[in-house]
Amino acid sequence: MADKLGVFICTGYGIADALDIDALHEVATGEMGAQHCETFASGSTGEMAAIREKVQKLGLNKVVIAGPSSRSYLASTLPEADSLQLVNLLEWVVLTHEPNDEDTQMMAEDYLRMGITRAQKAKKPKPFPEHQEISKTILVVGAGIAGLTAAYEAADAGYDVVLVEREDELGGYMARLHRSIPTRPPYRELEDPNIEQKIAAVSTNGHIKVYTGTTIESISGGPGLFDVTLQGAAAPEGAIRIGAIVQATGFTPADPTGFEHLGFSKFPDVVTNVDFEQMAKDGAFLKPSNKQPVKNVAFVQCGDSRNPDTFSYASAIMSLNALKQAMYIREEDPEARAFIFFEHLRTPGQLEDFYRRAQEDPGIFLTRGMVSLVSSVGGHLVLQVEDSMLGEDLEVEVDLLVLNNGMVPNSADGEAIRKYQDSIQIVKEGPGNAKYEDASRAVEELKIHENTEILNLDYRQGPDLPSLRHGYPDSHFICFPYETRRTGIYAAGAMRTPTDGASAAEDAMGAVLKAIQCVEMLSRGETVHPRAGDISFPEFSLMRCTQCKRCTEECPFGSINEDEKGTPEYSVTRCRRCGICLGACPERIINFPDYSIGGVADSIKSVEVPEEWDEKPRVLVLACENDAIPALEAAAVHGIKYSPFVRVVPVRCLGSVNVVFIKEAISAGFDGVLLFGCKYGDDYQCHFIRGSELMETRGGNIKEALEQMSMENERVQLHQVEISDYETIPRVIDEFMELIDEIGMNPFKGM
Amino acid sequence: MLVKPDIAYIEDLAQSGGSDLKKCYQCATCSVICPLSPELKPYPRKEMIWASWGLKGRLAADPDLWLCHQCGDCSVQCPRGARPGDVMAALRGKTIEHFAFPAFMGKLTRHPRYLPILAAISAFFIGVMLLVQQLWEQDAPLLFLGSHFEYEQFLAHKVLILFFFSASFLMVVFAAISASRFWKAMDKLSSGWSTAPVEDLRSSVIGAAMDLIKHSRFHRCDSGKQRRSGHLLVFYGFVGLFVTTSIATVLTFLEYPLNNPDLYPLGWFHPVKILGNAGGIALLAGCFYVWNYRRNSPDHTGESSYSDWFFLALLFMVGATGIFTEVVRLTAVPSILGTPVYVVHLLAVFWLLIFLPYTKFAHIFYRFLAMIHARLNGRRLPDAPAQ
Repeated sequence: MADKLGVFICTGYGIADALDIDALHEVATGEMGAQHCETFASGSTGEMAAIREKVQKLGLNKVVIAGPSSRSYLASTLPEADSLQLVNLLEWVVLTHEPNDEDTQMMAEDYLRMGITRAQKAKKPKPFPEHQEISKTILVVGAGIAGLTAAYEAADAGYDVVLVEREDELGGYMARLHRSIPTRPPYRELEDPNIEQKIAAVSTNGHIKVYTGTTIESISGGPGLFDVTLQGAAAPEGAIRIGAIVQATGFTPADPTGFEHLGFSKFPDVVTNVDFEQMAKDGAFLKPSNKQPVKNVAFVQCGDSRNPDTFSYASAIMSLNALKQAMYIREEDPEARAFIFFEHLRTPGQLEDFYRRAQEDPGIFLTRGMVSLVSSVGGHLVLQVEDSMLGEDLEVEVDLLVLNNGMVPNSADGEAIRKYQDSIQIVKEGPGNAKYEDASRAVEELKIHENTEILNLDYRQGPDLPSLRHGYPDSHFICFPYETRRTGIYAAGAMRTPTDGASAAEDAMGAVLKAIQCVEMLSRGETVHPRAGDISFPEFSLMRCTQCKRCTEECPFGSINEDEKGTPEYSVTRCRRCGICLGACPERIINFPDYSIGGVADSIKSVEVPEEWDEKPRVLVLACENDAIPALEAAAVHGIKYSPFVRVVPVRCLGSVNVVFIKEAISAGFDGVLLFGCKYGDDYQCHFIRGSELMETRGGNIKEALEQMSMENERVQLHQVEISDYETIPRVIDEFMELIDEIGMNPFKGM
Repeated sequence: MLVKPDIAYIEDLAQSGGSDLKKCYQCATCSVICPLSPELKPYPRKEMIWASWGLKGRLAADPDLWLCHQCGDCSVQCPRGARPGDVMAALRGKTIEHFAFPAFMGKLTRHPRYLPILAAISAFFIGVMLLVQQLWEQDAPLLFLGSHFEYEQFLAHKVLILFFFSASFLMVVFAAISASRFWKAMDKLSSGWSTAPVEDLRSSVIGAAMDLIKHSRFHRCDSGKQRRSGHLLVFYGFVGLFVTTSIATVLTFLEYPLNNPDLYPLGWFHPVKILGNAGGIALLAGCFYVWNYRRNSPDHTGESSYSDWFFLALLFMVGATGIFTEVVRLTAVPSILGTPVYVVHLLAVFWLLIFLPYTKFAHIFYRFLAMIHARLNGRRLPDAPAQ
């Protein structure tokens, strides 16, 4: 069936006052060959209903609506078509440029051409076929407070749950607590951990299958279609089909032996908070050295104050724990003294009141201070405390010193494990390999990751979640709470971030909601956050694949495995549709039906570049649609103007920019290319983790290519911007235009 | 320094006005807001943590407690409601108690439960005095029996002076012991608290005395200006009465050798008479003023403790019964009325004198010593903010 193209141009919002609408009409129906073109006044529900009706009546399958930003329409009012493209005439043109100006008009016409071209090139996306067989069972790994909560909440919401626990008992660390810190108003009194109740609720729930003493042998497939094989005495035969996974594997107390000045392992009366908790649970505070009752206790953060790096796993939980345990000893003996020496005492949220409660106790003594030495004098421990808030160095005599240990997450660094295994392989092959030396060094460095696997994922990029820092799974909590870099696997509790029982439980609820959202969306053929609801997915024309592995290596979500030869094996349910693979592929064989290399390249080529310099340069702007585009539109709202010689193309992620887009632009006569992406590095803000970082690397290659063509490499620039940078982007554009003026025109112009 | 916090002390302090002291989290807003606190080792922040750590020895020796004039700004501004001003006041009370000699006297004025003991001591004193009078002056009328109340007949001045002078002497000796201990403790604790140039002893004493006379430190407490007026009235009222009493005592001694029975009563316009009457009125007015302020500005004054009210009541009693005594003389009331008024007056004056080193009254010398000490050690006032 031949395409029928309809174009609708908005005349409201001052658009008709600033632009020649007839000329736009002429572009649509004339050179672009639209079968239908009409104007409308606003994005109101009534007007949109009329457009929908017209689209249906005329059988238009390609629709372009030129008017205000996509944010001005209610999504449900937009017409249905094989391809619908919105062209932003308001924020991109009218509000940011001189009205009734020749250059402004040219800009509007170009945007219309680009929109129409994209519509013409796009195909109707269809949901992936496997969506009909998505499993909605949720696997919870770890049965501490977070895991138990996740399991219970998922079951309560009507989902089947498989709960796997490595230990023989449920309850995790919470089951070893005497009391827990307050969870409800007035946030002053210690509470019963009450974990037994939770264990009972989970054990008796018909929706939950509990496997204790069990670990995971392997997980293959992708979200909605995971095949999980368990290992252990009670493990079932064969694989279980799982939809989504909540990993709540908890933490391990940090090792206190490294801090010699604190005297752990030298003096028996120096213990950890775990030991002290046990004393409290047993109901007897006795000195380990002579079994005499404990009168005075000091609580110290385990680490070396002179070296802040040694507090890597310190957290508010350590502070709260010290306050809680100080209360234990004070409850036991009203004449007991509890000293808390801290670097930072952090009691987030309402727990400030818990701090106050401890502070008001006449027998609890708090000060910041650096414990520099612990010695044993006459059966007592003597602490030397430097830099205290009392303004001088202190000596304090106590019966027991409790070291507050950091919480090391029980996680495995999938990427490190993979690198370790690869390096072992290279070393095995012998010194002939060019990478031999690097690999043998890597084997040494990464040895600690040996046998640390937890999930045993069958992912090309490694068997577990990738870590960011300190072994916590990579996740941007502000933008993407509970997300990890593996679609359908959500981290919760103390393995995600240091948590107390209450926040671990809350965390688990969040994670399990994400898991439910994931299986539900997959079952409709949609992808999850951040392109939630998108049904398009990339198609690989494998016949032309050269097995270069760029797509399998660069995919931030490990969506693409590879066979022995290196041919990509794409998993649609792992994919988040960022298009980074499309940007990576040198053979251009990866395309989305509605976002293809040809589509973008053609829309770039549809711009009318003046053949003569004529002081009308053209600059292509490739901007990330998540942050840079909204920032550019915010500039319009703030009335900030910028050069009319730029042509903006929104991209899914800067990582989805294929170098061919830039090459096409240069050969089409563009004088320069500006790339706007998100911040990258350790504190990245990229929705797709490292899209802009990857583009920076690819950009390096482009610069080389430009130099080979005797062109100035400044003609291509990448800028990292945030959504709040609406003042920066117009400035960068104008500065770039000045630079282009200086360098002069693209020598290929008009060729 | 080996630290052994005293929990009982903290609890005690909490009961004597510092109930919020443990709320302090050492933000130092108090020291920043204080118009009197020196730059180095500023107060009251350090006192707050010493107090919450129960370090009673160093708190007693702390001269800075006495550099504070209780404007209450710190208590009002404290973000945690720890009321540093109240804690400082409670700590001053503790210092008086700490250095009291003999030590048990330090306890007696701090709680209403000891009032009967105080009463017993006083009754004993007055009783002995009247007994001596009876023995000395055989023809003196017994207590309430005279139809016309005659002071000299009731209690001869020589007896009165003998007893009160002895009591005052004893008090001065005891106070001197306390003062010298306090001074030594202060010296030991606060060496090295300042790097500013040091004044010599003479100029320190003169400077401190001038501060006292002008209430110039008090003047720096902006929000305490109202209290300063009240304090000035009480202070000068008391000074006036003290001078009057001293002159009267000297004159009485002169009277006997000169055998001049017509010396008393002094005429209304005699300078000493004027000073005495003015002093009495100022004292009473000041007491009213302070009482009113304490009652209406609890934010600044804090919760007034027993010691505060005890001292204020005592001053009031001295002033009020003094004036009544004068009225009794002028109106020739019968002994049945005159006697009790006079006895209460004697009692009030006696209490004021004998308990001086143990009540809030003692601040007069603790503060003076601390002010001298501060000057000697260069703990100057911060520069006044530019207007």
